[in-house]
Amino acid sequence: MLEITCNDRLGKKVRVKCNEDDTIGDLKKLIAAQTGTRADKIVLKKWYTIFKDHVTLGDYEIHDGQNLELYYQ
Amino acid sequence: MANRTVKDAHSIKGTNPQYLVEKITRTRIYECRYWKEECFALTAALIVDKAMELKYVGGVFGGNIKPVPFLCLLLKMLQIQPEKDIVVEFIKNEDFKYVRALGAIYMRLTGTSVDCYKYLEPLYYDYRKLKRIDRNGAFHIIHMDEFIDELLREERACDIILPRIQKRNVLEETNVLEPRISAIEEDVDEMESEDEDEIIKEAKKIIPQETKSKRSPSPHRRRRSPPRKENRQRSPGRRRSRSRDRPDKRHRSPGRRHKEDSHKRSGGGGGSSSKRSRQDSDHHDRDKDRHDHDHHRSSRHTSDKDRSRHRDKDKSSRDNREHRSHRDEKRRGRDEKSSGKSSVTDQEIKDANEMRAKLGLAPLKI
Repeated sequence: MLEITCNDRLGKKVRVKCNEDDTIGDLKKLIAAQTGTRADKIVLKKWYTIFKDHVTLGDYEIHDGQNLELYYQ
Repeated sequence: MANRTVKDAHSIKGTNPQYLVEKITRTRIYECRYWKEECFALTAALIVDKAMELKYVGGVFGGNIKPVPFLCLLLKMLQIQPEKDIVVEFIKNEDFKYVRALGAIYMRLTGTSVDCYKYLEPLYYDYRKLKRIDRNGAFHIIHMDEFIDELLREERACDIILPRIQKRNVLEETNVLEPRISAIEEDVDEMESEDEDEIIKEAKKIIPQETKSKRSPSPHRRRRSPPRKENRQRSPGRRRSRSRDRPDKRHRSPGRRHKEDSHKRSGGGGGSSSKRSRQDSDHHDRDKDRHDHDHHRSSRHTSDKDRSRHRDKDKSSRDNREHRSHRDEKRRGRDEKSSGKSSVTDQEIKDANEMRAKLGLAPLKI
């Protein structure tokens, strides 16, 4: 289990608990449940790397405590 | 200039018709190559030509939100606002199904509720296949009637929020529309009557089976014995683990606890006081920093005999004891902190698992 932070630098900062084998799509659903935006409107990035929906967090090497950038579609 | 709506366009839902497409999607469309190359200075006639070349239906795809030509042409239609007759022509044409789909979604976005139902329901009888691209860039096949059904029922289609239209039953009650008669209604009625007969037959089959199962209770009884054996097998292992825990039970008696504590205190106190006497005599400053925690301990004066006895013996043992007490305190502090945190995070984990269950995800692995 890991806990990551998602920040959109405009006031929305969300801490989400998830497993390593969750996909980014699942993570977006969790973020959507907490923030209230739609899951398909969320884009997660780190600098210019856009995280794709079908890849797991473990494969992206996202570890506990990491910060992801939250953008919108 | 190229992105402004036509001057004499009437507003839809109170705003610029282009604003039916959301800001981010609209911006992505303006910046895409298809829009800049193909959708420049289009008129209604030229749109028809472009629409005839469409190969698939869709919204945006990919991580960087690329719009598809279908969506670009839809935005172009919103921009130039063709007449209603032209849109109806788009819908009525039989040859090009993607032109039909484009007209249908434009009508759904811009038309009134009555218009939507009036023009889109005939398209329920069109069973042709359409190619659709999803968010990941993968193609799927859907049928035209499924697409129309999505337009009339869902909130979003092709990544555009559809404006609200009135429910059909409301319009039927006000007699603006007639109730819809499906072409397969007779077939559905026959199916339902057949299903009822089948259900009755299956019920009759189930009832004699239940009586048979009541007559033979013995299989259930037999199953109870194996678990007992399994429990017996587990017990030696449990006894072994319990034996390790027994030493802790010895310490629970209060009398013994006092003895142990007094041993610790006397050894520690004697050792520290002897150390301090050495400090006073030798003036070693570094030892003061190490043993600042000893300030709270009452200094017990020991005689010179005790000092000499305790000096060499207790130095190593005292150091070990203090290290151990240090370690134990640290561990206790950490355990308290973690137990404090874990009690909070247990609740958080429960909440998180509830949310995950609602979303259809597996629970958290700790």
